[in-house]
Amino acid sequence: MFELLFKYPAAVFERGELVFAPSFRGFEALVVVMVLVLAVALVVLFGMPRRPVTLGPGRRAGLAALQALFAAAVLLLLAQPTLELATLAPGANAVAVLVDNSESMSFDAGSGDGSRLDVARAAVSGTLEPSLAPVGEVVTFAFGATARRAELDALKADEPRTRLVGAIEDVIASFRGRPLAALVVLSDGADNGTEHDLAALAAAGVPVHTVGIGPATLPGEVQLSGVSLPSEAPPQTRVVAELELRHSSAGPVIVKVLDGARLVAAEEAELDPERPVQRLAVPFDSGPGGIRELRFVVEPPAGDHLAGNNRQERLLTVSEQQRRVLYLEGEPRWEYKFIRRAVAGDRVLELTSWLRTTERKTYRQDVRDPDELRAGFPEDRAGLYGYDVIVLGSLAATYLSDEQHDWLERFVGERGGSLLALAGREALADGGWDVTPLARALPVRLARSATSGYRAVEAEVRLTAAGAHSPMMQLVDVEGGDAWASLPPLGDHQPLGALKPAATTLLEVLIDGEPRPLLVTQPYGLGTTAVLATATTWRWQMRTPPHDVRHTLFWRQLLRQLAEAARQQREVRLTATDDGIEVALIERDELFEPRRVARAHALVFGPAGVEQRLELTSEGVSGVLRGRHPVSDPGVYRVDVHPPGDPEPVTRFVRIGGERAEHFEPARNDALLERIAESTGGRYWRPEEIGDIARALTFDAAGLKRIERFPLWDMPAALLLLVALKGGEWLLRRRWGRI
Amino acid sequence: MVRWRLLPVLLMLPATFAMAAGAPEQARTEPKPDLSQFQIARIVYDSIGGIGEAYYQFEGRLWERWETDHPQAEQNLGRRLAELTRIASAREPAVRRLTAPDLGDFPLIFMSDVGYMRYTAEEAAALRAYLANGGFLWADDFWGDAEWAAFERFMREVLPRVQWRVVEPTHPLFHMVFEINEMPQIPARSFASPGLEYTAESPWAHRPPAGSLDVPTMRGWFDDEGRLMVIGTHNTDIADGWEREAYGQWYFERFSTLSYRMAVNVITYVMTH
Repeated sequence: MFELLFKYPAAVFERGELVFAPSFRGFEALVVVMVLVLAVALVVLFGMPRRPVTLGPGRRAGLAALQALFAAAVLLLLAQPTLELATLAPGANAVAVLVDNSESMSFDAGSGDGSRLDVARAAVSGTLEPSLAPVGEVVTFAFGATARRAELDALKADEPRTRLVGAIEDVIASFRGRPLAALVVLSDGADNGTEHDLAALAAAGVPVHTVGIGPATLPGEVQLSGVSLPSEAPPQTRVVAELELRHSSAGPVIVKVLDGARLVAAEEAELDPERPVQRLAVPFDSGPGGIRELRFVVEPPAGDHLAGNNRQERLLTVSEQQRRVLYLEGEPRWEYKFIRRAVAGDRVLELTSWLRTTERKTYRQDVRDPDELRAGFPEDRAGLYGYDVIVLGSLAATYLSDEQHDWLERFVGERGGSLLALAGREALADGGWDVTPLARALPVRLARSATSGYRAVEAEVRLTAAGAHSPMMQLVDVEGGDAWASLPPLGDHQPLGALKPAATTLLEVLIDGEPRPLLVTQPYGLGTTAVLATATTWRWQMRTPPHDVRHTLFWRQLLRQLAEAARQQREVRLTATDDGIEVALIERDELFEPRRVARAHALVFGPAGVEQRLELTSEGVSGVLRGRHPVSDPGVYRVDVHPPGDPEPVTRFVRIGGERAEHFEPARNDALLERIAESTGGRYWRPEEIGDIARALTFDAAGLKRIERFPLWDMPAALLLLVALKGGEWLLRRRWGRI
Repeated sequence: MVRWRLLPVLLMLPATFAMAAGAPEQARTEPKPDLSQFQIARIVYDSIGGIGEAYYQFEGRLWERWETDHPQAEQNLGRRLAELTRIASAREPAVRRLTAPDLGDFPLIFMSDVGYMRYTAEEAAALRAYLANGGFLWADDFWGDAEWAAFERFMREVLPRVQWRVVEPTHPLFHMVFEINEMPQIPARSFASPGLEYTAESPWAHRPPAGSLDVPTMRGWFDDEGRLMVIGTHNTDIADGWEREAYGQWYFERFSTLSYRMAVNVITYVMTH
């Protein structure tokens, strides 16, 4: 309709500059028109023959106005108003058409027209290419992780990854120096690239028109969209995998964890149609030392479209590296005995303890040499930092010097160690710890009370919601029920005071029906602190059957996780990218300050067992050496990092690729396609609108352009205006009897 | 331990039988322990025989074997532990049968005068589970071969695959807090006199055939990790040293100090291993 009235598309009026033929422009043209209009108005007012006045002044003025407008319109049209704007030079530009050739394009398009690639192919060859012919050369590309020129018929939708923005950037770069009018991208938007730098894309100045292919939703689809798992764990420890399920389904699903062919865990969950993203914690045993190639598999209800997104694989390195725990206890008590027993024989935890037996005597256990802890407390800061975890029992704060208190706080905050404070008659606030530097690090505000200190009281323990997801708190009940609910009640409690903002309560107890925090943790500085408001967990050992291992599990897992959280003097981190392995070696001295190391090397063993050497060099950050090893083959890579001066390498494993990325998020991603189009000056189109792209390119595109003039004097709207003005005057005269 | 004055015993029989029959049942779970403190539990058990065997008369009343030295011994021990060590110790002992459901609340249990002990399979199984969990049994005050055989038979039922061994003074237990270089022999007061070096009790006061009572030993049952689970202090009455500490300065200095030193070492060992 717009074009019927105004002869040209709206874009011409939006972008064009008004000129008057032959050479008047802008303000000058306006002045000329105004002068002419004024002249006509004067003629109308004063040049008309004098007749007997039979009309009132108002009616006369109305007729005069209509006549003046008519005269002005005629004069305006006689001035040949014209719109000037730059349009694509026909035949001088190229248009790049990018067709998504990733595996997700082989999925059903949801329109009954075959696969998504079939729909894209038909749209390009049937409509888009012919319509773009006047614009210029049409160059077809296929893309997945990268873009390449391709024939439509040769596409198979078989590329394993999609990097939408990267592919567009590749195409724009390939046209450097050649006029490129625009890009047209046909894709389902199922991108699995890691970065979307749309600002850089917009800066290229080439409009990208996106065409969304495929269904926007897949009813009944269930996918295991995420698996969060620590990369390392001690042996025989409960590990919790956090699984994320994205779905548009309902009903029960079974989640399994397999180590090779061996089932290590299975959980059932109920899909809630009101919650399209659900999370599930699956605990399992880490098993013996070594590398675990774990498979997480979801068995969805009927109606699931894609089986390829129901599984994910992860590596878990089960490390037997020993972690040192120092337990300082101020009085012989049963908790001390049973903590030691729980940890005894653990392959990871090396528990050294120091105990005040009498006012003047102490007792050390499992020291590495006769001098260790001879003075009771480590003699210097480096000695204290040699432990990963400190357990503070019922030891009065006054027993330590100010300097030792300062070391304890710095052990957590600066060294990045973990500290666990237990309850007791001389522990926490009852022991005067509320006025020590360590009080800053603890997750609760210790407060002294004259009436409610450490006391004997029977208290049922229960897991909090946060505790249920914590690997520290994973117990297996011998009867198969709620492992926490069936534990014997504790026999004591110590009030903790208010929780600090970063505190997390993992366990609580019910005392007189009121829940009170029992086990609270928080990060502090580079380390972790925890408070356990009891000293009678030994009851979980003594009041349960001999085969019940929950007390042992509790203490091993608590101390192992605290030890795992502690920073190490040497750390090796591997990061897998699409095409490489980034290796970082971090070296710290005995005070956990960065250790200056110039270089080191690593040996990388690929899936085929081929060994390659990788140099690790410092990149300006003291104590950190990095290297990047390019890889092309998917599989498990072993990396042996050889720190300087150490004959023993540090071995880590990493998985490259393997998962079928294209099977995840398989529905059409309108949001991404629209964002790409909007940020580059293009438009988002549906496949049925694809024929309109060519006309849009005439005015919107980049590339070589010419100045084109669009005369307006002969547009139908102008003729209609003249007729309307004269017709209106005629109707008024007739009504007033002047004709 | 003296058991030859039968006349008063016969006169007291009705009352004492009633007391003996009722005590074990009353002692099963009450009073509830204070778990924030160390508290020893005296084990109630049955004994075979009649007067002079399962029961004996002493200081004007009839005693069952299980209650020998009880409760004065534990009460004094509780006080002394608090003075000598940093252990927060309860002043009163608990009294339980081996089958008490809350036996696990007492990781150290104490049995005395076990030479006439009679036990059930249920009691043996309960003690087996208790020891497997980490509990510790100290059996004291049994003398001679026959009484040892009775206790050993019981332990063979409880721990059939564990062979007892003598715990020599070189064992860490003897050096936990106090340096003890030989196993002390503590006799009942009746057998101790100032200036008398001979400290063994008389064979005729114990279950025949008693054999020689001269050499005190600590005999132990160890778990797979080499930790003591059970000790039997044989041919000695350590608890009498606690119970009778106020008999006189000579007794306190000669015997009670040894008893307390041994108790401190045993208890700190049990609380750390």
